[in-house]
Amino acid sequence: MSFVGLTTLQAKPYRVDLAHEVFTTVWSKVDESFYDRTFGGVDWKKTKEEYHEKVAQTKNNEELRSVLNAMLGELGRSHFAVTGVRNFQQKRSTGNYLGLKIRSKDRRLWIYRVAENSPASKAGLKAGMEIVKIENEAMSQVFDRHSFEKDRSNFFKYKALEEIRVEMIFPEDGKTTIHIAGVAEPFDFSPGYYQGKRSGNALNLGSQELDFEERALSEREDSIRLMRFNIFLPSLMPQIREAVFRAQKKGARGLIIDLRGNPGGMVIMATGLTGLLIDEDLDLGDMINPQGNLPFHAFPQKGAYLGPVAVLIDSFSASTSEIFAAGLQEAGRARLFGRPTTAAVLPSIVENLPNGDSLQYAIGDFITARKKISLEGRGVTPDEIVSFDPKALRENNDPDLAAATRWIQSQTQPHKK
Amino acid sequence: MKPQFLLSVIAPLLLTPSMFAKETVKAKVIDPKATAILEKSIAALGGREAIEKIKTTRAKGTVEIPAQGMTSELTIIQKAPNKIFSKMKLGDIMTIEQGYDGKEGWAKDSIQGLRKLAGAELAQIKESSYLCVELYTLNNLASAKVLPEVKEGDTTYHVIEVELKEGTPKTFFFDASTHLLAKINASLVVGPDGTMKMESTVTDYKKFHGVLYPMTAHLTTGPVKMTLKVTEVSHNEEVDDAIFKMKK
Repeated sequence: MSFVGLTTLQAKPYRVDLAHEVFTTVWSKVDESFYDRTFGGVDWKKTKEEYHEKVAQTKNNEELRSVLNAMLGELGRSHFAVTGVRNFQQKRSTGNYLGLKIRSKDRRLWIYRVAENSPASKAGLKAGMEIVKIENEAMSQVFDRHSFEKDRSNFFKYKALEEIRVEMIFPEDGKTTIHIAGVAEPFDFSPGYYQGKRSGNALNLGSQELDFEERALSEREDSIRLMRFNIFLPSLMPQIREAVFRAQKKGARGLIIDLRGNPGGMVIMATGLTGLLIDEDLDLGDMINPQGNLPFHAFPQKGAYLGPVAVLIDSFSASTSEIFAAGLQEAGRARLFGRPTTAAVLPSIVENLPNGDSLQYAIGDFITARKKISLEGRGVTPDEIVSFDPKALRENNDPDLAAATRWIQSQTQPHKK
Repeated sequence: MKPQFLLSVIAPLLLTPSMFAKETVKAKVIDPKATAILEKSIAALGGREAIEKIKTTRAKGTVEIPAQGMTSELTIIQKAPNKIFSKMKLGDIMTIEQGYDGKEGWAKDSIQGLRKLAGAELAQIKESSYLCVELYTLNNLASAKVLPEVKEGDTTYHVIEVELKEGTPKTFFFDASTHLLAKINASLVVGPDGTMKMESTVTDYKKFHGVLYPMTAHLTTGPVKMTLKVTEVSHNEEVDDAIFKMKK
């Protein structure tokens, strides 16, 4: 998952000696701790020599970051990234929040969701609009610049889209201009401050924006209920717990958990939420590394909801979202709807670097409990694949939700209290 | 302070719900030279008699994971012979409590709720409930052998490998000059079927009520490193048994 722009760290001014220290730290961390001691066939020592020369040519932290991420990219795995605070000092005074979620299909880019009262909504942007230009650059060029290729894995597409999103947050002149298909005038808007709820400081992830939604899909007492949250962090656990309890108390016909766009978070949250949906212990899978294996084991909790569970996923459901979805799918506890997930499923930690940037690195692979497969690079495939449909977004329809609802309505399994 | 137990308390930081021992080993050879090393370490701590005079311990401290910029508050309360309660506040993330009242073990946190410990997990907290790891080890040996001495810098360590009647094998390193426990290597069972290698070093012994107590422990499992610093230790205070019982 990416936490770009959300750290509270302050970058130190670029210095050549510091750049080399950062480079050595990053390379050594990976050298010491990479969970696959074959480095996936990459000659990591040779990589050091190659990139050491490139570091010498950098002139600022941004260039250094770019070299370091290119070096980490040689590993071809998710959860290896150096993230900084691009223009952080500048953005601290103006904010870095757009309230805009994006999705792509066939190298085209759409607005997926616009938060209420956000800079994006105030500019008049709506879900389902197709972005055809950013800052007068055609989307095909933007995609090319971010190496967004049709045949690349979901993970690399996800990374490229994250970069594009960040580009919109940090425009050169503080103002983002985008062009929408079928609309003559461009949309200008500036990032602002996020005014909603934030998490506490979670390890080195800093304080994160929190978004939680819970609702009944009809007026009926036993209506199917929907729960959506944007990140797996403990700050959301009280609301998650309440939502599940409400479904249980009301005898809901089904519970739909919307993880579309959820980039993951702390894995313990996946076992915690699973515990609210089971009456027997359930293993989601194991983290495997040279030190051993660490099971992600869920224990049943009081007041668990034991009725039908549907989970909505898409290409922006990553990491802990994938662990949770795969675990429930393999155990037959939930049915998945939507599109294949990001395929970025490596447990990781985030550490500070000497220049104030952060290094995220994987500390193991994740293997599912029953099929014993790694999800990294493979992701989770829904039981029912539903095509991404921008037209439905424009018309405020949700085909994923509709498919999940139909499935729950077809279930005759009595609700257990 | 038991590093192994500490790791089980902060296991959620490692993104796992539980950590415990499960193996039961059959009786094997106990080398008298190994038990002699353990006896010397108990004497160096203050002696069996002084240790057995301690009926309760309350320790407060912090757990730091420097690389992740995190410091947590930790309290561990123990009562002889085998009761334990721990509470750990992990910054803004969560609070974790665990207890064992001599019969029943439990764990509670804000994410996974309250649950009763069973099987190997119960065995782990039971092992952790004894006040002195050296004495508990000596009293519960299934096998023990002496390994070659290890020299690191100016320090020489006596090394013994032990198996207890319950639990996974451990390697203890005792400082040859002080006879105090300095390091433990263990392969811990984590969750129902996992194992992780862990190394812990204990340092900065201080005397309370005639018994030495390690004030610092460094724990390493793979790339994750953490440091426990004990800031307060008090012995033989009144402790209400209710704190060890499973919360309702």
